[in-house]
Amino acid sequence: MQLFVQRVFDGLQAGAIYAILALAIVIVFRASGMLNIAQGEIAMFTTFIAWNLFDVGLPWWASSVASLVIGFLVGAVLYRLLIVRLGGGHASPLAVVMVTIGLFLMLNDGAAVIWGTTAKPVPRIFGTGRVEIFGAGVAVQVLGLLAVLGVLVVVFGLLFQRTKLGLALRAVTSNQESAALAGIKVTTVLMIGWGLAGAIGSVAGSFTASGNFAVDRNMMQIVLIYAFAAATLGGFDSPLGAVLGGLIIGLVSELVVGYVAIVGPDLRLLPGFALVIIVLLVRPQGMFGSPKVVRA
Amino acid sequence: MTTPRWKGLAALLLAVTMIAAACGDRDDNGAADNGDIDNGDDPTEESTELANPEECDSYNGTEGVTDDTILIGNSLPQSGLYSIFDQVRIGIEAYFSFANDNGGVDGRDLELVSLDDQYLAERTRSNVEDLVSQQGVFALLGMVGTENNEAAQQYLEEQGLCVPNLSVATGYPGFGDPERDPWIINGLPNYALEAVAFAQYLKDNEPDATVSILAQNDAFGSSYVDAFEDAIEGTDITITERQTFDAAAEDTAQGQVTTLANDGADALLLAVTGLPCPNVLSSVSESGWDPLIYVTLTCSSKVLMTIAGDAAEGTLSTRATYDPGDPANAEEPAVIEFREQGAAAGLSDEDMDELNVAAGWGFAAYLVQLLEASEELDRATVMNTAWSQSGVEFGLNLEGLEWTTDGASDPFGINQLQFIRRTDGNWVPEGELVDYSDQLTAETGD
Repeated sequence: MQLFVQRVFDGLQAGAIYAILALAIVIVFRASGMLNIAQGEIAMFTTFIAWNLFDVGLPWWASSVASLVIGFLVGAVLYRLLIVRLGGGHASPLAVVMVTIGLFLMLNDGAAVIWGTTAKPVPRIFGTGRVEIFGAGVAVQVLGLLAVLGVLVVVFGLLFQRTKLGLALRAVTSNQESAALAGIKVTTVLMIGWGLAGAIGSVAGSFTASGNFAVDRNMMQIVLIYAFAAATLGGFDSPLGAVLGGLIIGLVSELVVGYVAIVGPDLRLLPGFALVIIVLLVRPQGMFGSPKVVRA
Repeated sequence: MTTPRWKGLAALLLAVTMIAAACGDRDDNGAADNGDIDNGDDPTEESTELANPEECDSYNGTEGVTDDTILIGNSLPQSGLYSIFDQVRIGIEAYFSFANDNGGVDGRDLELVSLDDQYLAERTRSNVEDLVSQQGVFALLGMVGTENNEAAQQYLEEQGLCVPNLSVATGYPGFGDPERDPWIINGLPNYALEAVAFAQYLKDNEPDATVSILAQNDAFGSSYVDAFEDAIEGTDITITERQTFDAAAEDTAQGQVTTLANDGADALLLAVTGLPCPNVLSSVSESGWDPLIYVTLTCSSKVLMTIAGDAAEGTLSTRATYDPGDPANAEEPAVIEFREQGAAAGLSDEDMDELNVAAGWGFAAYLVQLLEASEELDRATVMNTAWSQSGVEFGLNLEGLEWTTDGASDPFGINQLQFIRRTDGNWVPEGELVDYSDQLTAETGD
């Protein structure tokens, strides 16, 4: 029992980070219909800026809080300066994906130029304490991470469902042209959408860095792979699906690797993706995604 | 907006990234294939002729040496989770600068070309190709990583090139076999020596200990594991659980630690390096499991241990050199000398506190004494000199440590180790400098 509880928390720890980045990906996708390959790198870039604050003396948790704002700005500025000019919502989806791949490389190399290529040590956001739950030792960091994920889900749920901004975002998602005709400033709304995704992504960046004890420019790449899997599993247009997808993939990976002897740590990627394939075979739109209805 | 086309694209991208991730995985076939090492049956005169230019397809013994410079090459991780080892380069460059200010080697200045490989073996290979075939370095020095150096040697062997690869920053037993490859010599203590020393420590202090192992799934990890298994054979020490860890994936080993902690052995052999070290130490501490932990010598650097903080308290490791950053060593003559010369060469106090900087400094000091001891600046002569040195003292080696090699019968310069234990944020020596080399078996080198 104790071992099982421990593995569940290990899975949730990994899964929560996938979930957060997946949430960022889904928000951009919902708002602008774009698959942002660079979402992980935006988070990495933001985390490096947060590291600068940490480096000049701010505690790491405070730097991580600040990175929410930084992430918002990085996301919004990238949208305003680059995406709106190069892709916007009008270019073909493939062209936009290419732009975000370019952005991916630009941010990765840019980080190397700005911060050098050495990993920058950072501590755990919630310290290295632990509590016992059903006999299992659970790091305070993990509980903190899960709490943060919970807060994100609630806050963004309310934002989308209960605010004017949320309404505007949903309107733009639903039909950009009609939204524009109704007086919504589509570009501004999309910029805010990218900013929100940048802010959420920064949380994934901070936690990934503090899980590795270092900010590194390649740290988000493996997370991005899992986050895409999470979004695919949950449905690309469902924020709740992305979160659940991330948690499920984290749990399945950890439990299968832990309990199925053939799938050792070296095959960690396997179980989560096997699950994605199975779900897609049954429900192509993902667990919570809405199927596209086409008028006959 | 949600069209089926998107799903297809997403799936495609996913597949591409998965393939990319899979390609990033390192190949661990090279694990500890040490061949048969003879224990001193060879006539000693042969050991001076281990490196034979006639066995090379193309041999240019003085390449990289001009009237006033000697060009030296290096490849190590300057970026990524293992970029801590870039400090080795800083140490080498500083010693070169110190040596050049003091007349160089027979009036020749040492020059270093160092390239980034991110601890990826395939990149090391292309770096070595560049260094050797394009830039024409005389020798390679202080290259980091077991798999990385294997890739380097593989390239050189394929091309029939004979280039000294000196003081490699790995203690992989497989590089201690001059009869198979006389062109590479280790700079760190044999990893197997560390494993044997830890086994001895358990035999002396906890003779019926249960042991868990967490090892990198590469040659580095298996060097420790194989030697440890050999060393505990016939004792009451048992390995109860073992887990591996992929050094190439930037991922944590949380799940592995959970498995090990559930087993709850008395001791934990941690055959990992770089940032995963403090990471695993913290995970172990957070799990509530409190085993006697041995971390590799490569982990004992100040930066890594500072990151681990309290989680590293009580951890055991070994040393062959002084840690210049430890205040307890401040009065040691070797440390005082290093501090003076290092400062003159432009190293900051912070740099000089770092074990990896000191290691690089030591590698370069070794190179300089080796080049000076060689009768001529010829690749084969230098290599054969390297295989037959006795009682050499240089760099920050512990007082009483004698760097001695004797061809295949004693391929590792360092045979002695001293235990250190993490106490109140510092490494505190335990016991004397002990020669463990007689406990190494044929399988694990020496």
